[in-house]
Amino acid sequence: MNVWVKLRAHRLALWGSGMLVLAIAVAVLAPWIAPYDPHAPLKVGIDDIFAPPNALHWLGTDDAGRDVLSHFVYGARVSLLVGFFATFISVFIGGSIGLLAGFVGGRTDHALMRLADVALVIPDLPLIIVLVALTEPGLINIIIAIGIVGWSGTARLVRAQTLAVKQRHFVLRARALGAGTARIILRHVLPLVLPLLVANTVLVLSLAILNESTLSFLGLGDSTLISWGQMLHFAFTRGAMSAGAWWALVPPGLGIVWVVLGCTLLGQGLEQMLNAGRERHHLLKEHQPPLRGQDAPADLDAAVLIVRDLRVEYGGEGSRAVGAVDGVSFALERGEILGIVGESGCGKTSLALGLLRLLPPGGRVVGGGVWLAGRELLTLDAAEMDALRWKELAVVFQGAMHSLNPLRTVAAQIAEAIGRHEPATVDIAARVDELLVRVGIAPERGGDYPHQYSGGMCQRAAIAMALACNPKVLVADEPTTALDAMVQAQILDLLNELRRELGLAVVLVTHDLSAVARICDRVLVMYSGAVVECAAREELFVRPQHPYSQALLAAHPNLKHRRGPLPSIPGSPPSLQETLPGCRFAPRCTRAEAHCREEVPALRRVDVGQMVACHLADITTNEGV
Amino acid sequence: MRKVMLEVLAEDYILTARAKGLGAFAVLKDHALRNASLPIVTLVALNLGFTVAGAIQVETVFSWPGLGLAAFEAVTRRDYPLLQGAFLLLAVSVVLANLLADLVYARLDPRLEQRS
Repeated sequence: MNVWVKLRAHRLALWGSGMLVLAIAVAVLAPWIAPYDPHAPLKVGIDDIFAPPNALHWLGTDDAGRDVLSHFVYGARVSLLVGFFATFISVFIGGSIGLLAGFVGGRTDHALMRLADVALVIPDLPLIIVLVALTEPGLINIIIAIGIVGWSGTARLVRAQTLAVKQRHFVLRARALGAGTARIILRHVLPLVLPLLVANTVLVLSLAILNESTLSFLGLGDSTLISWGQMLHFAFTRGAMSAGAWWALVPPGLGIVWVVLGCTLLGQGLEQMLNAGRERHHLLKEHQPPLRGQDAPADLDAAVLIVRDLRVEYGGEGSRAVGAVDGVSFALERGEILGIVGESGCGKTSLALGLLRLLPPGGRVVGGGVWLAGRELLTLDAAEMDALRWKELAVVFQGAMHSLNPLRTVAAQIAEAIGRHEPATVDIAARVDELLVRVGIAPERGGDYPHQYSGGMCQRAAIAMALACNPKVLVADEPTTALDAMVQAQILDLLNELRRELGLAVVLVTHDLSAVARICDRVLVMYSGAVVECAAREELFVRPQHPYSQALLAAHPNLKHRRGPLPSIPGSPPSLQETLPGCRFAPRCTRAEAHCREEVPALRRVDVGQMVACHLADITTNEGV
Repeated sequence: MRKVMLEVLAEDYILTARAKGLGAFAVLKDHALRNASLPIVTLVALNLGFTVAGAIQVETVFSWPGLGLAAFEAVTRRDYPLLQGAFLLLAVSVVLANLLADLVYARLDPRLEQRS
């Protein structure tokens, strides 16, 4: 079964559930396991009181001469019973309130959540103690008292998840189809909330068992019942400590620890299962296998950045490695802006991050070479790369708002880059002001925090930060996405200006053809990890050769065809996992021939500044758009 | 804390800091620690209330004459005025701790200063 396979892959969850199952087995099989019936009347001699472990009583006896092992085994019953029922109550209350609050929203949500807030700050235990003390101390009362506190955490969790699920399309669709509220909650929302609820339940269970033990231990439990807490209570109040009878104390204590530990492990394991992938972050060591140094390309001096046959893969080790960038080459001259365009998922960003050696964990460069001003980057060690990155090769990331730390001032974040790379003699404050002016931000705004900036200003600040050490090459990964059209134009003009005035070479990763048309000198069209066309801007816009470039341009609104829907490219790019024998665009290409599906087209020169990877390139010249 | 830290370290600005060439320690110290400490502050305040609950156990076990033991004895003796007093004190300390947490929060996170 699927769950079992997953469980096996997660050691924590496996151990936790194993421990819990063992405890439950002991509780269920108590009458068969326990050597004595704890409820039977006893004939006790003086020797039977606090007798140490012996052949008759494996774990010794307690103050009344009762067998500790039997008590321990039966104690598991009560402890787990109280735990399970109390957990059921608390999760039921919390789950219902959370579902209701999340689903109904509005005032109901507000009222319920304030209630949950209040409940959250009330410490459980004193409340339970009062509840139990003021009622008759019976099993049912204890279960209810433990159950009705501690629901607020569950309620919050379920509400958050419900809110997220509520907005999903299939729920909206069910609603539009006229499904009733109860039906939507049961059929559509609950199944998605349930996994989270299960993980939470296990943690609530451990709390409930702890609470029961504490309660019994304090002497507030039902004294006619045997639970682990009760055993500890008797042991403490009736002199087990002074009699040195450790055997009366240790088993119930270990029992509690065992169950709580089992719950915690299982809960953590389940959480890890649900949030697979959360465990990776940007500080993990670069997972970069050393690459053999390559022969320097012949045109090393002409270009400031040369990328040759770069290949990037993700995954591997267990799962099959997936190629995201497959042998991309280009050269960039000083002061040149190269656009890299393509649909989402075609490898643009992987290419950019790969040449910067900033790929997310799981990704790595598996082949090729990158030369920056004559230096091979892929053979440098991590420290050398750290020293060089930003000084020579800077980057503006996708989504500037998120790439600035919200808790530090913009000036401080720019200054940090200068401080790291420039000699101490540099006047950092003056340099920051200069940079801010350079990108069109008033220097006095440098002391502000990112949230006080508009989206465009954040982008400018990110560019200022990238320029901090006068890099030779700037990699800009979709710098204009999520900005409005006016601001987009301003940012592009700014890049253009910087290129002209500072001789900066820019790699502009974008899916926006207007951005390309506005400032790029040359364009690289990528499809499914490979370059399909590389041409000067004019060539590409006037005489696109590859059917994909043509389709891309046709899908771009222009002034000639103002009426009618925009043509789009049917289908979607192939999954990177499948390998196609021929041209990867063939399945979506309107002109594909049998030949196209058999042989991968090589990138070949069709004009002075134009390279195309298409078997039909010559035939298609001057056709289309 | 571990979970919060993992979340913070997956943020884009950590990648930026890393790209700037900062070492792992500098990134942690300057960019991650403060951001990750925000939810922790709230947790500390909440836990204060639970510490009082813990006091009941500890004081009972070792017979330390403290608020916890007083509250516990009040419960067993049905001494309602004493119980009320103990809970009032508990409530006030929890509220104060939360207030303190909010103040610290505002100091740590500049985004909160603006609203008033």
